[in-house]
Amino acid sequence: MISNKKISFKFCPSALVLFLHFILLSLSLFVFLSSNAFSQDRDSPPSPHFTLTRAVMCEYIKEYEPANIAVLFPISLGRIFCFTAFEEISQNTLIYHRWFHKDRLVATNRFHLKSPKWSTFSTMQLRVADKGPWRVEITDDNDNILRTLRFSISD
Amino acid sequence: MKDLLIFLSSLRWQDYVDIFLNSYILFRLYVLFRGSRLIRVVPVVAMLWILNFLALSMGLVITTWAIQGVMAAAAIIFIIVFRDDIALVFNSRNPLSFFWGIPSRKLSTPIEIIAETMFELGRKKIGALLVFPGKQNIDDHIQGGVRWGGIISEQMLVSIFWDKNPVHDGAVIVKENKISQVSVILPLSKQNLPSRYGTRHRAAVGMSEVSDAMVIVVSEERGRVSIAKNSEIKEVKSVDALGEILAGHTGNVKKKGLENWKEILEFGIAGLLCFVLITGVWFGFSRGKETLKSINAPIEYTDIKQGYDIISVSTNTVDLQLSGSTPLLRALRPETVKVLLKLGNTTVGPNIFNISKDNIMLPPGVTLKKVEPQSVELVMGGLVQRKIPLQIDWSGTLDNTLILESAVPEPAFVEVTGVSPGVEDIVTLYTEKIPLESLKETDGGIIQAGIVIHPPSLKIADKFKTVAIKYVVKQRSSNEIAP
Repeated sequence: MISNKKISFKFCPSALVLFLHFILLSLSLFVFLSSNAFSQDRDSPPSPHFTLTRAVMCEYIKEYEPANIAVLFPISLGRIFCFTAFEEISQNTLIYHRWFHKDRLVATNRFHLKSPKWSTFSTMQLRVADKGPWRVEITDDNDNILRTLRFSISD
Repeated sequence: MKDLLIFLSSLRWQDYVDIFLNSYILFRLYVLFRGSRLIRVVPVVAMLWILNFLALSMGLVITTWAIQGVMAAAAIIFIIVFRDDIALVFNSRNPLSFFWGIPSRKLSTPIEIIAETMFELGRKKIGALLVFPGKQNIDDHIQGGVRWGGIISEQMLVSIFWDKNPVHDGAVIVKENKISQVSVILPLSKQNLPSRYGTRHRAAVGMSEVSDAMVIVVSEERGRVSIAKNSEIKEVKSVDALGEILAGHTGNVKKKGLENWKEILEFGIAGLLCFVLITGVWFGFSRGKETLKSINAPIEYTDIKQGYDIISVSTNTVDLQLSGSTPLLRALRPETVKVLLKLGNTTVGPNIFNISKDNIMLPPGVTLKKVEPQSVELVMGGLVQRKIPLQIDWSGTLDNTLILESAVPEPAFVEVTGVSPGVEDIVTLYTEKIPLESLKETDGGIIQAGIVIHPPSLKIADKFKTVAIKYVVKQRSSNEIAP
């Protein structure tokens, strides 16, 4: 099943999205706060080189922003996204998206973070057998879990 | 003097008990066998033991084997030959007499009656032969005889030896105050006795040669009274003299002051010799030449806390290097050595225990030189508490016009009690399946759900068995469709 997964990711330099961020600031802040409230384990230690400002699961990425943020995704969607945003990046570093289906590690995606801000997302191709509870652990280069996103795939 | 005090203080109280107890047992054996033929064998045994020791130290292999063989055979021979002496000591009516008291022959033989009757028979020229058995059994040495069982009286003795009596020929056996047998045939002496002694005297001497019995013989021709004892025969001149000899043989004699002191001195010297001998043997055994011995001993675990269990150990046995005297180490049995580890202070997970002298129980006189390995690592399992994140497990299908924007279990973490190691591997707990068809409210709401307890050994507090799930759903707008 793992071999059939198609994992894709994109990089978006912060300078290009600065204007968009400004416009969507209030909306993003609301979504950020609300998404934090339900889908994350908040006991992750802060990383000294950057700050994770946002981590959500969404149905798609639209204009470098997560769209249809949710904690339940129908299998008919075909694929889902894990979006993360970082600020105060003092030095280039690595972060990971680790996808678990029912506590079994399915995939690990590695991303480079560049100063001063960086956003990134990974995606998971869905199959019928993927129904059930999932989680994505966002970890730093030292395997510290920065945040855990929990969600489900349904019929 | 100071060195002696230091040395004495190094001995344990068990050592003193050991020496005094065995000295007393040896002393009691002397007291019990004193006077018997068995005690005469002791110097022979001692001689054999010394010869064996000399042969061993000189490296005389064949001689050592031969002496050891003789000693082994001698032990069996002694038991057979001296069975009567041994039985006499151990057949005591009171078993406690082994530990206390001086054995004495409780013969209440009417000495005066016998002494006077013997001289009366002598005056009447009536021949008589009376046997007074000692400690040894005389049954193997006598023949014939008629059971009698009469209590001794002058008239009975005279009538037995009256020449018209059918049983007058032969000897009379006297036991305590009774005549047990009459007309008994005694073994004749092989000595060249003077011609004045007839068959009766020869039989008396013969009996005294083969046993410790004393025999009184009254001459029919001359009327003289004689005593045969220890292969010797001598004439007795008076009733008093005969009475004293009889009293001495039967043990009814009242000891005079000087004789009492002699006995006390004899026992004192014997006791001292026993003490010196046992002390020497004890030091030879326990403080003799030091040797080393290695044994492999199993580790025993005690005081395991309730709810704890041993998951794994780095080793189940340890090699011990022990020192002590050669005889002690040679006699050392592995089951007498114990390595005990108390697990009262263990914690769940790896625990390292250093093995020291305090953990090892050794027999007295044996000391620990080295232990390998010096530490043992145990992984203990036990009940631990953990907080595990809770995740919602949805089932069914959500209306495709809705988006489940958030769903938060309250509490988000559940406190569980489980067996470690094992419980650490549980990273998520799930709710029971919650049907998505029930989420129809557009704003959201609260639903209750149970928790799936897996593995079943997990314990969850009652307050966590049902959780509240706050959820928010929103209407999917027409333009919110994935590209």
